[in-house]
Amino acid sequence: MPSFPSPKASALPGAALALVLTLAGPGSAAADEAEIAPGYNACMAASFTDDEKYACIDEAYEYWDFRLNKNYRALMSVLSKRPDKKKALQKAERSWIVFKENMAAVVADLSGRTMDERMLSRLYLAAATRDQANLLAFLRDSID
Amino acid sequence: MLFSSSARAALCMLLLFLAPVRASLAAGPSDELAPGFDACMKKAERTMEVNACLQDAYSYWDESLNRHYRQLMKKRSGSGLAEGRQDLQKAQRAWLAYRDSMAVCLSRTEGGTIDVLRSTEFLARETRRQDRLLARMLNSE
Repeated sequence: MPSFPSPKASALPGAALALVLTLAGPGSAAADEAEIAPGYNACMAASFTDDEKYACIDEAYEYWDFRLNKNYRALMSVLSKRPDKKKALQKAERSWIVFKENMAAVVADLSGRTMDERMLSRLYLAAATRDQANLLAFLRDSID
Repeated sequence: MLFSSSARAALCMLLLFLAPVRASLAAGPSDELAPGFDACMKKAERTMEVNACLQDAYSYWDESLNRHYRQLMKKRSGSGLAEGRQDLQKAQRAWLAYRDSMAVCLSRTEGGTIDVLRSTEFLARETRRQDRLLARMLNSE
């Protein structure tokens, strides 16, 4: 039976998450699970100001956004002879864009409008984009 | 430290999205798709029965999602929280449109077996993902 990529359930409390992000080094299993994009941990370790940290998060987002677009085009190509599915995919992705942007605003609401709001919101977008990029790649590989 | 202590509580809800998505192709320890799903699948002998197990899983998470969504909206019912309420409503509506369109994309209108299963599995997993996100938001507020 086809099985979709499934997020790993984690029981880490919020404070421990920050610890994982800062302590997990390259090559460790924890790093593989925790690093949101290649180079993110190293970037954060070298960052001191909020602007520098935000730039690391933004790079992670851009990394996955590039891949998402590539995977989307590849999937559309695979569906080239299926106009019904292509149309549904287009609609799905447009809805997904609206969803993630609004969800990012919800995340920002949660942070209490602090400077962290930008970082949390962008981090959410990076993670959501990563998951979507991976889903589209998986679908491209699994569709006949 | 990465974030201020006030924002750290909000990080709980990001755990779901910060765990990388992996193709669960190999047999290995993984959480059940929904309570009772594994037992259901053990008994399933035909495709229709497999699809019924997937449908049950989807219904389970859909119900949980609606409950958590209502709770979150209720928390935002104060007059100063209208913007937050609107954001959540817009996000949830867009998510529904995304989920349903993607399920259509995955299903085959001719009724191909594998595509039906793929579509139903997607509905179950995606609904579970969204429910877990909303549940974590509730816990972090």
